[in-house]
Amino acid sequence: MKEKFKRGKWKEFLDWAQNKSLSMLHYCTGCGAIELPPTMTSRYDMSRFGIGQAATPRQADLLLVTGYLSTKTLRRIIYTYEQMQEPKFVVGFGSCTINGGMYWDSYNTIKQLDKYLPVELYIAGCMPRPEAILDGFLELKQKIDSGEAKGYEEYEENIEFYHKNQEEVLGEVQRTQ
Amino acid sequence: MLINYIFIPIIAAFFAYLLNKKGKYIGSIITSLISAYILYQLIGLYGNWSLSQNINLSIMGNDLQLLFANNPLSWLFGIMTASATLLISIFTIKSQENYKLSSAFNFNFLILFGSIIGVVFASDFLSLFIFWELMTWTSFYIISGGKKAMAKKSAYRYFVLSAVGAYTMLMAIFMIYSQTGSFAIAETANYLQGISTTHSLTLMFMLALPFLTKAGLFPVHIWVKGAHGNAPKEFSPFLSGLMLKVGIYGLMVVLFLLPFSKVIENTLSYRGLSVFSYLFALLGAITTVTGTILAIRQEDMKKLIAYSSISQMGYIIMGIAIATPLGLTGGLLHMMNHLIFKSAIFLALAAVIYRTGTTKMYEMGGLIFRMPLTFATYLTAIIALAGIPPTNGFISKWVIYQALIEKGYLFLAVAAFFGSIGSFMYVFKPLSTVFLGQLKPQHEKIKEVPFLMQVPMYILMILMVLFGVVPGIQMSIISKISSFVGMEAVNYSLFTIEGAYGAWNSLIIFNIFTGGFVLSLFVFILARKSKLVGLLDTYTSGEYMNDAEAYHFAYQYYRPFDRMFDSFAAKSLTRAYESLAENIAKIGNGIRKTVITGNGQSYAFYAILFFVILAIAGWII
Amino acid sequence: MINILTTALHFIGITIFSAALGLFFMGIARKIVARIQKRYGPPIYQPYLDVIKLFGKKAITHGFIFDFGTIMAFGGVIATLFFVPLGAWTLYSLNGTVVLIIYLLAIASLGMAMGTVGSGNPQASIGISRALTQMLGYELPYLVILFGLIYKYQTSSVFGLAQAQAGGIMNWNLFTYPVATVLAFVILIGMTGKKPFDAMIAPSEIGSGPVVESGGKYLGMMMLQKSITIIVELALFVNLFLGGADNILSFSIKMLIVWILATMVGSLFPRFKIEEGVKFFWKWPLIIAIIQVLFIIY
Repeated sequence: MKEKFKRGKWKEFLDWAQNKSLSMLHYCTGCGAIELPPTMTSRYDMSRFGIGQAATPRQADLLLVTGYLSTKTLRRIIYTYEQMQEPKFVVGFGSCTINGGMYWDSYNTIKQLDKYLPVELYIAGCMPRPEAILDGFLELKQKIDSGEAKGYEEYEENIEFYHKNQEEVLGEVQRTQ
Repeated sequence: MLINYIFIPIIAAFFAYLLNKKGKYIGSIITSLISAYILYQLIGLYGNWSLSQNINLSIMGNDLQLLFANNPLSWLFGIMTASATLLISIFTIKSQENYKLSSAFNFNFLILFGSIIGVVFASDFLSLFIFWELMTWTSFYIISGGKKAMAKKSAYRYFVLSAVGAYTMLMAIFMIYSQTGSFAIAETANYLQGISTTHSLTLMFMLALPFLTKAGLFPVHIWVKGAHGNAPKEFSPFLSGLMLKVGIYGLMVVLFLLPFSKVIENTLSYRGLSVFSYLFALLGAITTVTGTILAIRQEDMKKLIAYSSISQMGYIIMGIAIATPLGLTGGLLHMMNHLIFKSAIFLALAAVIYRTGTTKMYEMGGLIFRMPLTFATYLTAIIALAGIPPTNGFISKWVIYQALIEKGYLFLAVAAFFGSIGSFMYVFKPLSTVFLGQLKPQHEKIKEVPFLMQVPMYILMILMVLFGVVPGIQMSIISKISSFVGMEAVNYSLFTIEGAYGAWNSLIIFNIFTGGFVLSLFVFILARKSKLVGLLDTYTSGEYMNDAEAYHFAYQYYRPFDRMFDSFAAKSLTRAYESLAENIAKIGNGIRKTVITGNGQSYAFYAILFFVILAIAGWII
Repeated sequence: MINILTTALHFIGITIFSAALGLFFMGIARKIVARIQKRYGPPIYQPYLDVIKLFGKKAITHGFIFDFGTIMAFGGVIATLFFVPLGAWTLYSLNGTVVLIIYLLAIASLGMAMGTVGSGNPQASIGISRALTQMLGYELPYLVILFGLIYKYQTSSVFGLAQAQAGGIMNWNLFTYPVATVLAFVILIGMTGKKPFDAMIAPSEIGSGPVVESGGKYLGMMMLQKSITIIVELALFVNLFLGGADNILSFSIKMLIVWILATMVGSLFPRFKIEEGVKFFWKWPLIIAIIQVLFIIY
């Protein structure tokens, strides 16, 4: 395990800084979005773990896909993900991102997020409560700190796989120029 | 040989006109050669302060003498005129390729150049008036040759306002002549000090009126927007950079050579300054504020900078009218600096108009990618205009602030601050809407302007920074002018100027600024290299952006601010003047209708009335 | 040569110190706002980690002007820093510096404006137009107050104005001109961009305004620029109204107190619209400032 994630001292330092200061893109898709405001505000305060909010994808590290994704939204999420800068991480919320969840037989939503975007972490539940969300974030931070969270590199390496899947479900996809 | 410098351009104008019919650039080349020659000669006249020449005419048996003399004030203006003409004419060599009236432009421009030299070197009022009128006529023709539809109407408005002022001055000159028998400025000064205060004050205001109009001060500033906006694009730099300053020259003659201060010694004074001088300064303050507020609302870039010109003239008047050494220095410094940076701005805008063909800012965008050198000129010029170190604009503003604070003129200072910070706003608007932002598809193929048009822009850029770092060059001539008009000079050295509350040292400022910049560059380079992406790949909430037109924020850039001043801008002085003119026309019409009927009987009545009056008059007398 | 080297090291040291202090203040501000909202908030050293992380991220750029504007913004504010007396250290007793500092801050704004509008995003243009309008709003009463102070103490150097308040706590401008101090405090809230005057940042309205396209090192440099700007503005306030200080420690404590007060006031308000903000500054603050300065002059 340790040899797979060998990295230099400088990268270790940067990963430590990255895990202490995550900027979450304030982008919420499906019904999972309702659990985010309690997590951010006073009761379950997310900011004490260093997780802040970013207004635009250029400034963000963390993309939360909260809930189901219709194909219409998937197009925009891929565009947003490609606008984010490395290092960047995707977290899937709720069962809809894992296996389709409640909408498993819908013609319009996607069933498995991992085929289209590289997901670091899934948080199961329909909806996960703020405590579960915080637990998931802490595990994400640990993953980043140890250097295991390399989704963005996997996206670059397997880009044909991801693009093929995306175009299969969306038709033609306009890329960032 | 001062007279040569006046008449050489005037004679050359005819040659330029004829030769320009052959090739479109010959006229401009002649203009640039002549102005270069005259500039060179004028530089040689430095220090020769007692040079004077006369022209003796004999008209119908009466002797008439036109006097010309060289003094520091005139010399400075002569240099400014010649250099401005040189730069503009180099610019017009290429930029008037498709201009139909280029021959007439060159003809009028050369005569204009000669007449301005005549105005500034004249030392009696008659020659001043002659060349002043010549100047007005030729510039009227040039402005009316602009390509816009409103050009003729704006030129007409400019001419009427100038004429009103000029004929008022003529009346004052003849009133003085009838008492003194001479037109010379020195004798007028003696005469004015001898007569009663009310009389001399009236005369001085009458003399000052055309200069106020030309400088664009508050009640008579309405011609500025139209003339600048609708003039040919190469003439606007000259109009704004130089011709507004000739009004300042006239005001300096009135305020200092016929010493205003001596005349009004016994009038009311406010904090050590006569009420009438303060009136001038107050007019300057109102001009500054009005110009700033109206400039922020404009959508046409030339009109925006035209309003900016009159607000900067307000600064100059404020500096000069408060009649302290610092104020005079600040006003004159700002005048020289304004020439440089305003010409640079207008030249950059003329280059943009040359390539895109439009002056509305919301129709352009992203031009930095196609015209980077024009952008660099514009950027340096607005840094100078907003008065940011280390350019020359900051120094003149700093000196004016010191002058205002030293005497404690709160309201003038508030107007000056407002103008300065407001200038930051309106000068950023063309930068953001024309040069930055999204590039419109119809402008994809634009190239930078030709090299000959870039040369004046480079020269002006270098001058702005040079004068910012070494203010001693400008201060040397300005201190001579201060002593010439009888005011003590401000202490200065090559890199420093001494103000009321302390000195200014440009070299240190420049070094620190460079140091800060280098440090920041260091930090930037040490970090990771960034990836270049196109302009259309930007944050749009995940939506795809294909149409550049919809994503360029340009129209009504400062809408919240404009909303605040909507009621202020609705009261337009232009409409007030126009309605006055209409009412006078109505009265005239009414009289005409009553008197000139088509009726034979009333004409017979008039004839009989005429003979009756003659008979009665002949019988009485 | 040695002289230049020591001066350069001096400059770098002051910059690093101010940036570190500014980030510390930003952390304290976040903590205080969080405590007011009955939550824990991020640790006080959080902004340092933010900056380190940002410099470790990759970024995109939209061309030369984007880079140049960011460098100019940061460089301008560093240049401003060298003219503000921090404690007993001042670059020169160079007179005429108050006006100079205000204008050098304008260079930083111009640089940021130019760079961020050059990204081609209309939201950056909207943010900048709002920021410039608001700057016109708060600078006017501030300059009126400065006019009064310069006229009263007959010097326009910040160091001189600080020295003029020496000789005991009752000599501070806080106690001799309390009205002016309160007004300057209100203007300080506007200058540092706290609520209610933060319509130019407005995260959910215009996507964080000017820095919409800045990520990675650009955002990091903007954060550092913001931190040094905070230090410059606070130092100016302390020097002009609280009598400066003899050593850097008491100076920092004074700045800290002012900053805590400003944060606490700023956390209570919603956001003004831009025209409401400008009208607010031009109504009572301007009138009171003019009356105060008239008292000083006559």
